[in-house]
Amino acid sequence: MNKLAPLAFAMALLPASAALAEWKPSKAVEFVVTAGAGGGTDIFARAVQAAVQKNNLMSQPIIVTIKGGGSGAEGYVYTKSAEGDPHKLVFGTHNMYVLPLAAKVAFTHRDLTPIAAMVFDEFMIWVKGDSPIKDAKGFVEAVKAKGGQWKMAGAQSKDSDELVTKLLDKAIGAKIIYVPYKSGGEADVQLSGGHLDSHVNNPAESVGNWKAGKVRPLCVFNREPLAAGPKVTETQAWSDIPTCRSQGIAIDQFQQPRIASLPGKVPAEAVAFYQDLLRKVAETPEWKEYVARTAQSGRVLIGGDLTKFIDGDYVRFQAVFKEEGWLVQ
Amino acid sequence: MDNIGDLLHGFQVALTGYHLMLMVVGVLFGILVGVLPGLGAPNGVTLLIPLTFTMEPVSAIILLASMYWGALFGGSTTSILFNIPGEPSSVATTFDGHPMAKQGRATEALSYAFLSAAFGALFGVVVITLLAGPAATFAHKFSSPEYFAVYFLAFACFVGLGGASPFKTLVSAGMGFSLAAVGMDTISGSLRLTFELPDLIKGVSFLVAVIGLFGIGELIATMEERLEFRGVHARISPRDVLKTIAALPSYWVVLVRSSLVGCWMGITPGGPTAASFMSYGLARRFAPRTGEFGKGVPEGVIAPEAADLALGIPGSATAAVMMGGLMIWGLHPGPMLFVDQKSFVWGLIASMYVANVVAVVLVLFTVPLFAAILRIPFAIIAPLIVVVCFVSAWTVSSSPFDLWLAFLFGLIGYLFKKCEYPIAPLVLAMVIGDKAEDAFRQSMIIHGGSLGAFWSNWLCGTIMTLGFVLLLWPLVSSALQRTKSPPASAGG
Amino acid sequence: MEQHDPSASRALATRRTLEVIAAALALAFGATIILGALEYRIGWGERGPEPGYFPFWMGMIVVVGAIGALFEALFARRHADAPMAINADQARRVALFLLPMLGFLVLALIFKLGLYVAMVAYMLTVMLWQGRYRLPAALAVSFGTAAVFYFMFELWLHVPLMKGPVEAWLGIH
Repeated sequence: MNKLAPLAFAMALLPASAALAEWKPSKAVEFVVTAGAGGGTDIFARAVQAAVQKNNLMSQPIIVTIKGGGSGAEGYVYTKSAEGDPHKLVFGTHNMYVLPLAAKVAFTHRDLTPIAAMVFDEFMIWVKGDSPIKDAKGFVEAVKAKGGQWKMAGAQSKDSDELVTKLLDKAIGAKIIYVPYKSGGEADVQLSGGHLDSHVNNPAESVGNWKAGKVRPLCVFNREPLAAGPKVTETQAWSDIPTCRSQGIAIDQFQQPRIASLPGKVPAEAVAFYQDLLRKVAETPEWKEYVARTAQSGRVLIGGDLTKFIDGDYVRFQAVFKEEGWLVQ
Repeated sequence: MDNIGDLLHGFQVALTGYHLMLMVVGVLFGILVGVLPGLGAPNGVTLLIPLTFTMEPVSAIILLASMYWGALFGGSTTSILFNIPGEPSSVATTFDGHPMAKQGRATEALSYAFLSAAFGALFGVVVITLLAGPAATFAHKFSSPEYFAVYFLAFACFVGLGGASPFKTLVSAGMGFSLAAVGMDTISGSLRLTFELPDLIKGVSFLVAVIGLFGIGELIATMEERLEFRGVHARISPRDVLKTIAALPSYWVVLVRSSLVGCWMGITPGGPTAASFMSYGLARRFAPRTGEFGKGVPEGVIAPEAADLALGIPGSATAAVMMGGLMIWGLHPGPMLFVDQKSFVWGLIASMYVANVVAVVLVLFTVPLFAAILRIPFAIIAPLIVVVCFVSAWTVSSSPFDLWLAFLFGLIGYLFKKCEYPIAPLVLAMVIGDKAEDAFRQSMIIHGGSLGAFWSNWLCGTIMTLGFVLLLWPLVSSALQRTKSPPASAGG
Repeated sequence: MEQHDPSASRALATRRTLEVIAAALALAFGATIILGALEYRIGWGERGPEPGYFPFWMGMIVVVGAIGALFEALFARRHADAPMAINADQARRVALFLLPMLGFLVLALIFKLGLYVAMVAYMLTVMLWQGRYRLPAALAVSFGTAAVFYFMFELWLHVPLMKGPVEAWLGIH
């Protein structure tokens, strides 16, 4: 193999090489994380890493690198520049196709090869633990009563949290002030300190404070409540949180996919290898435990399903961004 | 005070042979990543996390926490010996630590650094043990206006010092703030000052700037004067270490004040880097020998070191990675950890006491070793430092552009030195710039664009007012002096 | 290298010249920041400062400081008694130090040979040319350095450094 290395090096530059029928990584695989250390995407990548390593699904080691600069653009640009290199797997969310809409970021999702959406994170409306608001109906009334002074915290700007807020604006016919923070964790600290009125965090971002009674979820933006599971607090499990729709907020479903992608122009054999690898990962007990613990929906999309999903989601974001005047071009 | 009982139980957890071994391994690994400027504590945690998958959570956190202590100790080493801060929080240690090393007092400077860091750390751990609950409650009072006030206070403590021309200070601080603004703007979601260059999307890394300004800049200046490291003839003897230990208590005012600053910046979100700057600024402002700061006084080493470790809650980036680790080990970070996972939390706190002692002992043993590096001929050590600088700049984010940037910052650092522009305001501005801007604009969004936000409650108002007083203090005190006494001759 | 009394060496730049150059560079930097900030709105909106506000005013601060420093350099007495900032000897030493460094970067990044090849070449150059070491010693130190970095970063810390065709040819990924 070593003697062939120069040859392999040259062939890696070609779109697809027929010589390598059964493709396997020949060196350490780099997991590129397009968010800050310790964030949802980091934990996603490390959960995959843990599942692969504990079950010996791959012979080569895995190196996790954090490239969360520019809201993740750093990681995507880095992966784009590694065109043809099947030893880099970039982990992200829908920011891979949403970021280029609102900022000049020097990549689009078409520069990458999506491999699998492995899990979908939920969004919920949260209020402070001792807030008098009991349910989503009470939430809508309270927002309206504040007359345009309701403050909603969220992670980043022109990203999913602000988008949910905009959709919420429209659904309930009110004007909410959106306050962007660096991460959902920061937003949670601010809400539990009573400095803001609500936020729309993912379950995992707020579960610690929910257990402590400092924040409380009102409803989830999904068609159905979450899957039944153990109690999180003394009285409630995730499945006890009603859907926002059932409470009269007309937003059907809003979820955040967690997607792993290769750079562009990689050999088809490599794509097949990683599709197979991630499919196996999704079957491991470690992975199922991760999905349940973070209260996400474990739904794996690969190949045509994934492309269809991305195209649909992209159009939906584009429409809202156009209306808000956020589109960069 | 059942905290004490819990702590004793924690010691039982921490003082097992296996955990002591993990501490030694963690500290040694930490010293290594701490010494290399590009690899900091966050990288160290990232590298160790895969190893912890199979460990008990409490063993894993002990390993990571020990690594963190080691990294902070190691970071001071290169600051003092080569003017290259191994960790962002040891930048302020270079101001007096490196001049001391140049005068052949490397051992003394290193010992002061480690001992005061250990003092600050232990001080912080005691505070956690006694005040974990109230401190967390107090931290909850902080919203964006208070965050901004904290950054403002840290900056106010530091600027306006020294004899530099005020215009040059303006240039330096303005450059730092501008560089901090490059890249993604959290509040608007737009990319600023990137000039359509993909390499600037991630922003200008503080670490790369520091590697250039301090490491390479210092080397160029040394070359110009054809100086060799004057540490060459420094005698390295354990007796120097002992002498320093004996001298340390006489600096108790600096030690205690700096530890308090460290705790303050740890409870509030200021972070260790800003804490070390603030502490240095205060030490210099209130020292009897203000004029000698920057030329190699022990207080200038003690102040930033005691502050950057205090409270013992790792800086945000490292803490974030550790939090991620907690999730992987199946624990949920948050206030409930103290109730749900008592032995985990108190095992960690107890291990902070033990790991600190372990770290100081280990690191003091390495002092003669590191100081011996200075004996290597300059024609070898200089290019070696250049290689370390470039490799470090690469490890920050594997970007070739960062190497050019480090080189450019090296030239800037040299020019700054030649023309007596102060570098420190630039560095501090880069550290707190984007956080301060975010906090400011969040406050404005929350309070409808009114500057009254910063005096809307006693906490925020007090910090802001204190900041203004400190900012204007040099003007006031110099005006007072001028009226009182005839112009005294400068120097001393 | 002969011993020169530094004051005997020809002055290359006076302190004033150097100050003017530094101020001019700072001015250019500030102007660039202002230009970049003008891509966005720089005003104070109903919800506080807009995206360009901070960069714009920070750029202005640099410009004001730079103009102040320029005036100081040109008209203040301060530097009149320190006419020489850099002499020919010093400039030569600095240039001799910077040139190989630049070579390091060009070799590593422009010719894309990677950090390992560049560091060996750089160490060899400096040790042979400036340190006057013998070839065996220089070879040992430079290759030793590369080996230490390789073991530490690639094998132990799992932090890959930039590599080029030479490593690929050797079969080292």
